Amino acid sequence: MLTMPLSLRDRIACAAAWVLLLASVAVAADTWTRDDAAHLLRRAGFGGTPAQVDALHALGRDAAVDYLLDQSLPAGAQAPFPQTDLAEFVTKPIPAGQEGAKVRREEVVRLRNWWLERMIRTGRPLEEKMALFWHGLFTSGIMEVREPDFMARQCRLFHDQAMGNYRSLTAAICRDPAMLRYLNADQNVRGKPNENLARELLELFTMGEGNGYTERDIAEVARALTGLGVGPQGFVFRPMRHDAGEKTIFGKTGRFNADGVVKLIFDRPEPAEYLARRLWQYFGCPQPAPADIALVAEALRKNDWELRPALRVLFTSDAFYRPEARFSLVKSPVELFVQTMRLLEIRPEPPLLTAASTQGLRAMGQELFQPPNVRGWPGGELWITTSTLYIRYNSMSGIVFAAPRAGPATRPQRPVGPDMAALFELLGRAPTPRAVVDAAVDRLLQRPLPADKRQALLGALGDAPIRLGTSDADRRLRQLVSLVVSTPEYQMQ
Amino acid sequence: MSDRILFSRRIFLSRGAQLLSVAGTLPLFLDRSARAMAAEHAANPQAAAGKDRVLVVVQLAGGNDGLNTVVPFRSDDYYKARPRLAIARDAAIKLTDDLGVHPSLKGLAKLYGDGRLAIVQSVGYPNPNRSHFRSTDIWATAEPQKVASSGWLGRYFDSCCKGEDPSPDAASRPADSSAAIALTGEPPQTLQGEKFLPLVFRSPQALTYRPGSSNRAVADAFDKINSPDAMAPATRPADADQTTQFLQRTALTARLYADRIRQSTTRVQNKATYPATRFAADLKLLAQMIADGLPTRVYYVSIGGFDTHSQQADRHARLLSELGDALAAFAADLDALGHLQRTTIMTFSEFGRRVAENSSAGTDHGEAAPMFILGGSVKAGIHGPAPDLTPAKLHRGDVPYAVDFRQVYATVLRNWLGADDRAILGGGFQTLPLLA
Repeated sequence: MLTMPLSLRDRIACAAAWVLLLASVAVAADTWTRDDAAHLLRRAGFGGTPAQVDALHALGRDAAVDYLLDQSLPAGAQAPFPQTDLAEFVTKPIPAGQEGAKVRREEVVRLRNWWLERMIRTGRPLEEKMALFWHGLFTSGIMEVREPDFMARQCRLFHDQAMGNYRSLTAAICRDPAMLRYLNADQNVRGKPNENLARELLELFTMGEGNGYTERDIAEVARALTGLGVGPQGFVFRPMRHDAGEKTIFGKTGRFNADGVVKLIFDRPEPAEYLARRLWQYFGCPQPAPADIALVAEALRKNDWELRPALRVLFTSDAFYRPEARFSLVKSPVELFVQTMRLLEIRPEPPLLTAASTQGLRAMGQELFQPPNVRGWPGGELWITTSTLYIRYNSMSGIVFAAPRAGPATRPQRPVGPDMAALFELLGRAPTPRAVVDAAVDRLLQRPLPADKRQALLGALGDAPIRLGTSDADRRLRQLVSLVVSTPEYQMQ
Repeated sequence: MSDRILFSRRIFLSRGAQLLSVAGTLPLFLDRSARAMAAEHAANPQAAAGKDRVLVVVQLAGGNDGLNTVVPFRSDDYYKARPRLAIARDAAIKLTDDLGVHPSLKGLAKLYGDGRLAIVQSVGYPNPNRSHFRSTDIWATAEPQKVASSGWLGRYFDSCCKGEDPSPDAASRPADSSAAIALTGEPPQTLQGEKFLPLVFRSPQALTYRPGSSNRAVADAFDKINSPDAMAPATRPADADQTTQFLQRTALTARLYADRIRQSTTRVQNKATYPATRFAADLKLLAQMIADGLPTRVYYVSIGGFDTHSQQADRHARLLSELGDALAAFAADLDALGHLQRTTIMTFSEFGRRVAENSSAGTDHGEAAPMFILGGSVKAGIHGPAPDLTPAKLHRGDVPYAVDFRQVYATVLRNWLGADDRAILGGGFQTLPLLA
């Protein structure tokens, strides 16, 4: 990936970035605008409601970034998000036989719902974004791993280490039962190595394809990783299966084991550049400029692989806020769902959560705990196909049209959806159609639409008077909001 | 690892820049050709039935084990290298005196007997890469030496199939999106042009905006907000613009073709019984679209799970039954529907697997492997040399390539699609006598 030649578009983007970088030297952080705050929140979180954007804006750029990194606040400042009490996931024991298969399936749904609910409710959205980042980088899938408890443990690791240390996390992943099972480490035996984990450790987890290592290094790393295994309780080391002989990796010879390999990898320059690029592409823009990557990579190296200083560099860099970077990323399906729930202020409850976690997200191409393959989700424009675009439109519209309150006790499965009157209440009891369209666009798209498209939304809403709280207004506002989320613009962030 | 779907790893960033140059004129053209297609069909459904040749590309994602697919049952080296995994001499279904196929491939063996299956042996490329992703890229782009952004069939569509469009700038336009359909989750890079954008969907039923189906005003607004902008508004910066335009174009093509594709599924009755697998369901839908005469030249389907690092035997047997049984039903269906003569099916996988089995009764990533070419117009038989499994003849323990996969592509491009294979593949590759 690092060796990819620059396409025309990259060159244009890079040139534009340089021009802007030069121009922005003079731009001080106090030019921080409300749009900047909304942009930061879309990327370092799951977007913000108008009130949340206002509160983050009021902090100023540096304090806003600090708040997102560790919830620290200047004295007297108002927190953009309430403190939330998030329950840990507690796994259930799996019974033997047929019943076990059923409980396993239920556990996976419960685990997915638990994580989605957490992303929707959290007051620490960056922690969830980073956990999702790690899930996409150090991927494992339940189909291969089989034990929901192992996936839950890996997910906990990603939360505990969300903004921890890249090297420690890599070392931990080499002992993670889900990963070891996913990449057949269990079957990597002295004399008959299985290269799966070794290859992906270098190619996908730390260095990038063909970047600084050879096929021979992979074979030698595989030898060093022999003996790692998974027992019923989790990680085990099996000395009898470990190849304790000398290996030569990156030109260095020694009796390396897994920890030795991690140390060798992180003595090299590639992991810093690799992770910095991945972070930029996840948070910043599809084609970050080499100089911007270098700044984040430098922060990783200088701080002994700690994540927070590197993320601070990224989120306070002028390049992050350049106009070209805005709305340049396609929302992942999980981001789309979580943002929609948050922006429409919907309480995450099982019917909508389960619909998303069991159908919607899979159809859109992002099933939690089941990435398509070890590379994770390639993302970007690849999220969008002829059909996933329509699936996005229809499933987000389904959320918009869900009834605002739970139905009678006889129908507990009825989804709980957005409350239209509450979403638009700041406009008064009888807002004009124009005010309503602009408020919907501002809340959801967070950028203006071309005049003819704004006019199309006004046409769908109709010019009859709107009385918030009536069933007529409720129906028309839902149609409007459904249209706003069914636009190309809403797919981007 | 899991590999249910393995596609190219790169995001097709270059696409945006190129779309900019065609965005202005393309929507109008697309709209016109879709309307023309619908009008023609309404006027005379029979005449609209397709006559063009069709190519179906089948991706075996994960790296199919070629040696247990096409079995060299006379090779002692094969049995030495695979004490647990080798297909027993009397279990392989014999095609020739020294080659057979996996016992799960009964359907393909029958097609071979019927003269409808060609097997190309030892297909690969120089300096093979054992990364799933890079090797998938290489097969998709036909560029082993450098990283390219467009797929080989995408480049074909960049410069062909302009149909009846008489306007002077037609030559600079890509083919209409309906020229290629992929039934996949992600857009396959193989079909991705510098300008061309294929239709990609899992099910045609999904291509509807539901809230618009019962409300005309909402449907009208939906069409407007999902159309390309008249001009790029100054409020949008360039990068975001390109992504927006890509999304707008995707929405537009979906709107234009959804109805027509859905009609195929109601109009055509399949004439063969398909197995109850996802892959078979995909092929069943393809048969309907082909028989209904869509203007589509290339269809793309994918079957995953071939990355058999451990406990390969049962899993591989299941995969090959799924593949072979579905392909046999597909061929029988197309034959009965009268469209097999104009259809050629080609399988590929990013690599074969190591000759020697590993300690987990599986096989690791390898190099060359066989390809299947089948249809009503293929020259049946075995093409390319069988792998020589003498340990000294192996390349890093793998089957070395004898046929460059670009020779197969060149053959398909020149002899089946009637295209300029040199321009598309960037050089001359000797074609093979695969097609009658």
